[in-house]
Amino acid sequence: MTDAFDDRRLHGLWQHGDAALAPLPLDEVKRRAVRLGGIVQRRNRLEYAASAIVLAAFALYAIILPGVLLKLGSLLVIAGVLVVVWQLARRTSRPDPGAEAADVRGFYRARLVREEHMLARVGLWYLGPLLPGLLTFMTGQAILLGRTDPLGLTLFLALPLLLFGGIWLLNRRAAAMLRAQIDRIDRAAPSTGESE
Amino acid sequence: MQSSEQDRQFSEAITRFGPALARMARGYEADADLRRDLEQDIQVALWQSLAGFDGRCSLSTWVWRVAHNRATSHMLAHRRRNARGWASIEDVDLAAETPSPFDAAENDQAMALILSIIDRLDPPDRQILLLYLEGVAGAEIGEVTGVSPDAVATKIHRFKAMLTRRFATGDAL
Repeated sequence: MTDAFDDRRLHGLWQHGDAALAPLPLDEVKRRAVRLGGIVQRRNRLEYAASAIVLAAFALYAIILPGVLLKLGSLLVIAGVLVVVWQLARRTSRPDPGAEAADVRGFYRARLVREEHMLARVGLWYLGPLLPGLLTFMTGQAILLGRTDPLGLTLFLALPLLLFGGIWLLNRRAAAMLRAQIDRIDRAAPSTGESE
Repeated sequence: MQSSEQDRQFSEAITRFGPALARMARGYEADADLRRDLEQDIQVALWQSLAGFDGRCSLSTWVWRVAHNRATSHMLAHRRRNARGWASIEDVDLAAETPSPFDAAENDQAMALILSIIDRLDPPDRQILLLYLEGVAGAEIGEVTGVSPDAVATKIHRFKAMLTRRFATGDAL
């Protein structure tokens, strides 16, 4: 019984069967290799499309809405969105064939570290740039609707603050989970030294 | 590396490791269509990476590294489908599941159990076990994964003990 799952049986079990890789023709491999950067670009395209809609809407607001604060808020939101788009492009790396030849523990750990950094700093690169514009815009809205009393103003400003606070907390929690995974990798499997 | 040499190395890698890479992909992706995509991605990554292959490690080690790293990226990209989440092998618990008598543990059932364990593992442990199942020696597993040989041996021991205990429990029924 103790030998029921000895090395030979396990290897035999695993390698039994007709698993076969459907080989891609070399020309197709090369064609796809050229296209690889496009995969990341496609993934970001949705973010860019959403940003374009927001930019168009706030550009329209800046033109048609009355009051200095609404116009200023719209322009600040536009500036914030541009910063976020720039950060997104900067932080989203293309697949790196060289990095993929690194040892797999180091590669996986580096992926987790990169994601953890992005999530932990979401307040700086994502929420922070948008907040001044939204707060200014919401203040302008409160004034426009005659809600300049402390309660009205608080309600208008609390909406974006609560929303952003929630997003910030969720991202911090996700970053903490990733940090726990990174710590577990470091604790559980002492490195051979190559990946450090 | 010259393009012709890169092409030759790629062809050699696919000839030598094609079936093993298909089995590896099975350990990362259960869905047949997504698995085919993964296999194709691995081939593209392999060809690209071979431009930088300088022979400082064996072709085998190189192929395994690139394949597992690309498969790990695939896992991370599709992680939302995995509601249960991944764990290290020390945290995988089969105790709550119905044990199978050893007599009934035909190959298919044993394979299903192996795959069910692998499916729960986070990438570092998954890589170690898939390389072990493929018959890669402990020292090379350490070289591919960047984990010490002692840690590799401990993970494999735990894996085999889980399988044995599971079927041994069935024996006792």
